[in-house]
Amino acid sequence: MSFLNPIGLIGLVSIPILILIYIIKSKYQEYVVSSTYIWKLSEKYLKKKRKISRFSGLLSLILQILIALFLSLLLSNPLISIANQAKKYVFVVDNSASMNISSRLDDAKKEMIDIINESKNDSEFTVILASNPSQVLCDKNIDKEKVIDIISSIKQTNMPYDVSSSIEVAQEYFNNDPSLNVYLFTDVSYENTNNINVINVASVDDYNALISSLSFTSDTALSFNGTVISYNIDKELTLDLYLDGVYKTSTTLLCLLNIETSFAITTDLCEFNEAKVVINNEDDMSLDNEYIIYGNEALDKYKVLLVSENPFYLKSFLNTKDEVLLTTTSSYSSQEGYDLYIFDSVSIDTLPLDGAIWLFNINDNVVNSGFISQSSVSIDGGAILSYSKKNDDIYNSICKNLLGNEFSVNRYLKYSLYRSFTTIMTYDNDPLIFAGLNGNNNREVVFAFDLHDSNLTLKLDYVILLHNMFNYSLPKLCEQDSLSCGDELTINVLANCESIRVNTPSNRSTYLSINESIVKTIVDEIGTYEIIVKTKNATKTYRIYVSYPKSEANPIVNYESIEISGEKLEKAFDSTYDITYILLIILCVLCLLEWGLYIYEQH
Amino acid sequence: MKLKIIDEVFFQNLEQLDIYLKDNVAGAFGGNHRSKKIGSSSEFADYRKYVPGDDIRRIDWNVFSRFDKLYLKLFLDERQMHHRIYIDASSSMNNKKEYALKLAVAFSYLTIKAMDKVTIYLLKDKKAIKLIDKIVGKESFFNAIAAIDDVSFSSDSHISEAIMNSSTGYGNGASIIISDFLTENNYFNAISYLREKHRDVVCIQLLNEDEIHPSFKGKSILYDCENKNNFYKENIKKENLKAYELALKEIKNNIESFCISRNATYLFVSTSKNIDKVILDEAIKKEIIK
Repeated sequence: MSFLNPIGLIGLVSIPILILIYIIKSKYQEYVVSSTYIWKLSEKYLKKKRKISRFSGLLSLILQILIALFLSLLLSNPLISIANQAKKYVFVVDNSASMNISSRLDDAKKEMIDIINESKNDSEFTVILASNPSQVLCDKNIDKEKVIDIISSIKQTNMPYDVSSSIEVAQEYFNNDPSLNVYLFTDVSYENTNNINVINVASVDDYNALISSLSFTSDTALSFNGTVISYNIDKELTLDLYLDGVYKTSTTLLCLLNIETSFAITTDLCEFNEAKVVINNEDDMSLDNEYIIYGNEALDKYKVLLVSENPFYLKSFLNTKDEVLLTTTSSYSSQEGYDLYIFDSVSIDTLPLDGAIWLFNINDNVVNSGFISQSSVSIDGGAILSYSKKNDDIYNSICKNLLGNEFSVNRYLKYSLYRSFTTIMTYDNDPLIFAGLNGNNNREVVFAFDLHDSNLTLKLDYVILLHNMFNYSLPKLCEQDSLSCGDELTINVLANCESIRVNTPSNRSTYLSINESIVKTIVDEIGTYEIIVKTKNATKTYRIYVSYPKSEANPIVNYESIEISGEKLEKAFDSTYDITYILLIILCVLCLLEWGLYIYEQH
Repeated sequence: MKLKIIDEVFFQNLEQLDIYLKDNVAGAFGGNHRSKKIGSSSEFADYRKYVPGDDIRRIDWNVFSRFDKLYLKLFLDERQMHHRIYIDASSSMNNKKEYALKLAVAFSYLTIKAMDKVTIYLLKDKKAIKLIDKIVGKESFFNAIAAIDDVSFSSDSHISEAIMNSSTGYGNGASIIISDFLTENNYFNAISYLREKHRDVVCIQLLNEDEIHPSFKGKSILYDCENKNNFYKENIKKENLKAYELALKEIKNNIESFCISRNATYLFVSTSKNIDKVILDEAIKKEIIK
């Protein structure tokens, strides 16, 4: 037993005082009376003494001593320690999107709370939220109430299931203390487990249907094509089509269990902004029962200024693009208002500020270009360029779909780069093709050679390369048409971009950085995201639908194994109990007995 | 004469009272006869005031001529009462000694006032010791009564043995027993004996306030003053005091009912009560005094 307030034991001093008083009071007073005759005669009028009366004084003393003892103990706030009772627990909690099905997360919480309530005092609890990255909600906490509060406050997410990082964290805990009891609360079952108790809260009766994809074509009619999956049972599903919130038509199809079934819904040709297909059947997860796509905006037209004395190759390419409004000139005199400026073997002093830049064979040191021309290099027989294989976004977008044709150059300019460009192709470590943001924060692609000095234009890769360069320089705001929860939304920072704001389905607004050419953000809500881009000339809004993660749609999931490696140590710890309430009850009983004895004696 | 226990005021009070000890003489005829205190013998006893109806031949004309007041000469009668007063002089009566003696003297005075004889006995151990013997007349009375100042109360109480072993007289007066009657020893025999002797028996039970309403509380050992080997050890509580009262009541009832059965008179007196009140009030109620 230990005491939180040992000074309360001072009350024990009263016990010898009580004994002393009792001894003093026990003494008989002596008197001389004229006669004891009447006293002796009076005994027959006394009620037969119960045994308790004989010992009432001693009984009273014992009760008072016990009261003093228990009162002292109560004041000293004792704690009783019982060995080998408490245990240590680690709870890994899955709050992925599938835990929305039925009331799985609530069931998991209930399981955890039951374990906590049944555990002995001083048991330790660590709660880790299974997410990527994982999150430790509480660390070795012995306060049961607090842990239960933390667990109760765990919120549902719409993210896909990923326990890998949280299991790593649990493994670290286990490495430090192999006596830990690790639990995973999830709706996934595992065939093999090691050192981890998997509490599966899924029910075999749960049912879900999901629209897994949707697209449309418009020809003589609008045709919406997609796929739908019915999990665990065969089901006849009815799909409703809405255009801009107005119901148009339905279709019914039989979906065999767990097989992705295609569907097509056709309606009259018309303009629309938003098309929505909804599963008109009840299931245990409603968040994946609709799919939305947005009508494309009319293709932007891009104004391109080509400054070249010999623009043949470039002009040929640009004329193939419908969205290009091309202007060709042989000299640059600070024109502006173009989306793309192409300078081909000309002399320029300053770069325009309001558009993307392509530079071919520029020998001038142009301010804010990001490079300095050092010398000209001629190579007899030509130099075959090598891909830098940088593997960043810029490289990947510019080199997308290239066939890898070899080509050579006879002559190039040796540039020294002073900005962070992505080198696409090199020769002898000299950057010959590179791209990135220039000093004016505009997208820039630089060729250190004249196209006429290479055989690139004869290769198929030339067209693909220029096409990629065009898409890089004048990108779509968002390359993705659709996303599912947990995916990364990629946004291209347009030229002259002043701000990019993202509105989530729950109206949460975030401004993204525009310092890079591409910005990314994780989408964690189901519904329509709005991307509002403000440039110098205009404000553009792009809508994209974030769907329920497909991986979370199947209500019954089985995985092979999960483990916490190491040898588990079966060990329990001391548990302490506050016995204040017990002492208080005993004290009240003793006081009642003492009071009862007093009343009995008086009576 | 200067008495410690009784002072002259006491006697003055008694003198002013026109009361006498009542006597019922059994005599040869039985029943109640009013005894003549003054008879026709020649022995001069005393003077008394003339009351209408008295024999005028007994008027002392010499006294009249001297004092202009009518007085009768009294002569001793052969059938003069002899009242005997027995005082329990055991140790238990020590705390009531003064009161007991006062009572005895008061009754004695009433006796000699009526020209009767009185003897006061002290009952000690098993003996009745004469304190004053056959006193008649005030002069003799006052000469003898001084002895009460030297009386000591001690020893055990054996009322029956003491009285029955003494000269009790026969049918010529009252026998007054003054005691607390707090003894296991038999005293009923004495009452029966005296009644057989045709004596008028008066039992006066005298107790003080502590004996009537004891105030002991808690753990106590009570030693009997007459015999220290007799003691009562108890944790005295309310119930014990209640039982004491019931026991006392039983004793009183026993004595009273025995007295009634023997045609004796029983009087219970508390020392907290004024003697004058006892004599004027209770003794008259009980017809001990007329």
